[in-house]
Amino acid sequence: MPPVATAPRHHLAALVVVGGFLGSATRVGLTALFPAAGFPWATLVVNLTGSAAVGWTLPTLHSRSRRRRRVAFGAVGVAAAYTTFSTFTLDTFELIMSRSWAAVTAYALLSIGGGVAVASVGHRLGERP
Amino acid sequence: MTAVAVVVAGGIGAGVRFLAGSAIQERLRTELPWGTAVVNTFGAFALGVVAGTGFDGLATDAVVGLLAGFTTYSTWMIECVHLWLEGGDGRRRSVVNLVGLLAAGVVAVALGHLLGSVL
Repeated sequence: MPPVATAPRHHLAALVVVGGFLGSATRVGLTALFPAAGFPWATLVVNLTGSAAVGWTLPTLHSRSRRRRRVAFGAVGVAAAYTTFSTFTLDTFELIMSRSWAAVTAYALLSIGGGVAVASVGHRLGERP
Repeated sequence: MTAVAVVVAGGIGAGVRFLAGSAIQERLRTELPWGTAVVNTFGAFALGVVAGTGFDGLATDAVVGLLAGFTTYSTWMIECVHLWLEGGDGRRRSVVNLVGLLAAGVVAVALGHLLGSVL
């Protein structure tokens, strides 16, 4: 049995923070490319690409040595901070308050259905040897 | 300047999510990913409060960035996929996690907004 790499929690937390800087920076940069529109395209694209990325990379992050460090940095740091649940709920709430029923339905369905779909497709692709 | 503050705050938010989420998960030790659920619901509530106050400026942008990094969409999605792939009762938990957190998040942001607007 190979030695299991263990890491103190504060080491992992530091990796999450550094990964979080990278994920946040990517989100901020990408969001700036989208003009403000009546539909939250930027958040949708960020959440779907991030869900696909974490599905695809997690099996690899898990399969190598230094597993906990890799997962902390890549999945809990970069991918998780790149995507955002809080902005997703605020977007949804604002569309509800503006009575944009078609938009809120499309946004919720694309975010939820699309998120599950791309995460599971990513997971399948990532699991292949 | 705003972008730098948002990025720095987002990294800190991610670190707090890791510590809070794993503490919650260890304490509850349930079949459902409560760490992500609690973090995300709290983050939605807090963003609702901020939006409700109508404040803007650098400090507000930093708090919004902190909450964006603190909450996570991708972890929620992949945890739903993992639960589903367990099969059997895992599928039920996956749907509960998906629909439950969606509902909790929207209710939390609405309540937060209400609170923020009267502050």
